[in-house]
Amino acid sequence: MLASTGVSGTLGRAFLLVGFIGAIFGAFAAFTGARRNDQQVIRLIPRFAVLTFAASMGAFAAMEYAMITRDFSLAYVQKVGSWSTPALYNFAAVWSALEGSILMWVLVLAGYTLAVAYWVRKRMHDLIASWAMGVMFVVSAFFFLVSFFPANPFAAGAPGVLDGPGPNPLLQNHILVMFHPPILYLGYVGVTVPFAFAIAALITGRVDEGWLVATRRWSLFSWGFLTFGIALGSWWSYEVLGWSGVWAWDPVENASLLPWITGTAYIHSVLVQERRGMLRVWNISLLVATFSLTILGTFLTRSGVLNSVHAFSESGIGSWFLGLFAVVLVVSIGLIGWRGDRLRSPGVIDSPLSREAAFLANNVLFAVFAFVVLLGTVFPLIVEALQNRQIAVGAPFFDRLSTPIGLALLTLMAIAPVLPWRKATTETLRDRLFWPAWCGLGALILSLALGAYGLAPLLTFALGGVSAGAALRQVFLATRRQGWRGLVGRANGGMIVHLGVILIAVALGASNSFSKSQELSLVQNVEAQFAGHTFELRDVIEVRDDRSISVKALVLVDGRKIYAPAITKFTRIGMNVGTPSVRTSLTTDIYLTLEPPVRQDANEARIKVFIKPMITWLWIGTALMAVGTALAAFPGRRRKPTEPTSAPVEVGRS
Amino acid sequence: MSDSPTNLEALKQEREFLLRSLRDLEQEHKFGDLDDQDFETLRKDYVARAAATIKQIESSGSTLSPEQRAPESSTNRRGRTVLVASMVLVVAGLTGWFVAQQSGQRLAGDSIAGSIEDSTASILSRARATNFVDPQAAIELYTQVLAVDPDNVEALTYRAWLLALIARSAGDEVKKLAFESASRDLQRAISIDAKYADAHCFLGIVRFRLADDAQGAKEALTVCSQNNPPAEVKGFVDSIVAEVDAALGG
Repeated sequence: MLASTGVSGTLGRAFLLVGFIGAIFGAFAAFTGARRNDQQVIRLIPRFAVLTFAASMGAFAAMEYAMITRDFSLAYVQKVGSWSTPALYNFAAVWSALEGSILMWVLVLAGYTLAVAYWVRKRMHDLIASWAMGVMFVVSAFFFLVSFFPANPFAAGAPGVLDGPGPNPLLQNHILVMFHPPILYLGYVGVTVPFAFAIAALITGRVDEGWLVATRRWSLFSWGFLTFGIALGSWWSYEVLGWSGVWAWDPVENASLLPWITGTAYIHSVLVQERRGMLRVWNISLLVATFSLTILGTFLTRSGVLNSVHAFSESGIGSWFLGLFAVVLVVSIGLIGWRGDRLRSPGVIDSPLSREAAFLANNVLFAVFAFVVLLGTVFPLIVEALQNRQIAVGAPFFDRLSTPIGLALLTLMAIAPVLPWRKATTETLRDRLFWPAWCGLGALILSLALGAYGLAPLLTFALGGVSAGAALRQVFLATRRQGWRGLVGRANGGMIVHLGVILIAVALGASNSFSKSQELSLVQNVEAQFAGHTFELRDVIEVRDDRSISVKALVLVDGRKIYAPAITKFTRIGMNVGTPSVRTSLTTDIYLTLEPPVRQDANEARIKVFIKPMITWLWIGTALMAVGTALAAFPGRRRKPTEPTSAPVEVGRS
Repeated sequence: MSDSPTNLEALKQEREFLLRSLRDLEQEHKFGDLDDQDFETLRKDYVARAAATIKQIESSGSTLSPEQRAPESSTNRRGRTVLVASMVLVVAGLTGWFVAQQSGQRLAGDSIAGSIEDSTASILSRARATNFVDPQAAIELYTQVLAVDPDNVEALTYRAWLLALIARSAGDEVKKLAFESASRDLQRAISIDAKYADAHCFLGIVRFRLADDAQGAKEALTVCSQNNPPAEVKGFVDSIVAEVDAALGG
């Protein structure tokens, strides 16, 4: 079989094998070194990390080379490669289907393993670091093995194939395909680092707060990448899919949302453990849940189970991921049970009106939210497996339950930042909530004045106002004391993240509640009106290239600028893809799609118009979340974990 | 277990963490990350915890017993566990009941969860993919399109065609009703877009197969050919032209 592939196939397989062997040896060195406290063996760990990363780079480069040179001896290139695919999309075609996406996972995971090995290089003698490296290597070995066997991207293809269909047309229609999957993977895979340290803490019995503080940045970064990746996916959905929405509760979307929800709960509750030494079991459980959900999500989206539970058995990869999921759960729960005594928290919550109580409430809400999303996603699979009935759980289920949960979370975002640790007096609360309450009232009056109506949107805007007031109050007090340095730090960076979340919540509330849409039959040079805007069809044109025929309607909007919604037929695949055209502004997007049937020689076209308020604020909110995450991750004044406790903290060190 | 080096090591780590946290706390306070009240509260808490840990290290290196760590009584703990478990069961039960209420039949091409508020373009695309796999589901999708856009030529044409296909194996009465309905929709599609070849092609086939109208079929099929139908439709037409000509010749 190998003989029938080109040099890329042979090299790629060899690299995967080397990577697998490197990971196995790395795990062996880490576990043996940790058990025997053998420093000579432990010193080998970074070398194996370098080897596995180099092998993963080699395998990925071999795949890119095969794709760029259109090596159609490989089945994967036959599936997603084409001479007519533009260079940019051809580069991204490597991760456009199952086998290539697993290869990317391998690369990112090996990269994280190397980064962690570098980070702990001076304290590799610390048992917790060795065990954590061992866990990282075990997970790496699993993914190398998956890529070598069931998801082999270097398998030989049918002989005589000289061209292929190229990637799915939806994946060669927008530049975001270059960024969305890699960033999402940085988030998904990054969760492995805190998970590995949690398992190491359980194995060594050192379940105090030390490991948790040490991995804080890793957790924040993976959460930040996951957030940004999900937001880019929403942006892609909005720009490419032509339905004008950003979130459809699709199983693939839910698979990325689930670890994000538990990850968000974790980065809040971890503060309670760090500050008060409480919620140890809960925090470790959240980390295990977050990692498990990334594996479960991969199983759901890669095994074919979403088409039908019966398709699962046809897929080789599904049973591998289900197996890993089961192993992770069993081992983690077993370790938590084993260390139950040490995990018992020394403190208790003194008052329901305290920061830690608010964090606990926040975690309960996130847990319920995760359960709702998970149940809605897997319920049809359970019913099909038990009763052989094919059912679907529509968006209304998710919308109806996520709205009250979202409003409750907004309420907590308004109150928690002003609550002190341990206990709040009514005086303190009254004092600290004074300005936020006024902000909320102002937001409510403003939204009413702008014509908003309905309980859920008005509550969203008012609570958004209070939450923004609470976040701004914290940032204001910090910057008044420290100038721009007041923006840095976990609390202040966190408040910037809150401001981003509030913008997103308000934008979603407005766009979900006050969007308008209509299909217009436009005749050339005749003006039509909708929602206070004018639309005039100027022409219908056809654009052809090697891979597609595109029909575009040129529509003059409000007599100012021409927009060109299109329908593109990808000739090799025979698939029609609609491409919306959007007029973006800070207040309202005008979103146009061309509806079939359409002919280039016609002097009319059917255009669907969506008027969507505040969409731009979704992307501004996302950017703010990214900035806030970076500010929270770089407080710049914590000593390095390698420094002895007695080392003095330099004042003002950054 | 309590005197093991690992335990002692763990306690020392905890001591280091708490002492380091105390220093960090001062920095965070200085930089405005913590206000005065939080700083005081947390400082007292850290000092108390550090003192307890140091005491443990100095005495025997043993861990705090469960009783020391969690002074609350086992009855309280059991009560809390029962309460939390009951709440979890209630939330799970209610959510389960709600998801069962909200679920519905999954048609071909539907996602198992969530839904894009489909544009007619994407519904048509799904219907096209379903045409010959599950004609009933495709008819439902075309009907959805027509509910939003009653003049949609493709939906009118293909719904009529699939209806006629299903009726072919039915009795005469059903065939007659299907012919009337299909014929009406196809004529309407032609009146909206006279150049849409598919509607002419299917009208010709339906007239011949369901109504034995060779003359009417011939007229429609001629217009169909003049408008350059897509390859898959042309395949249907080519297979029937000879039969129509033979019927007219006879």
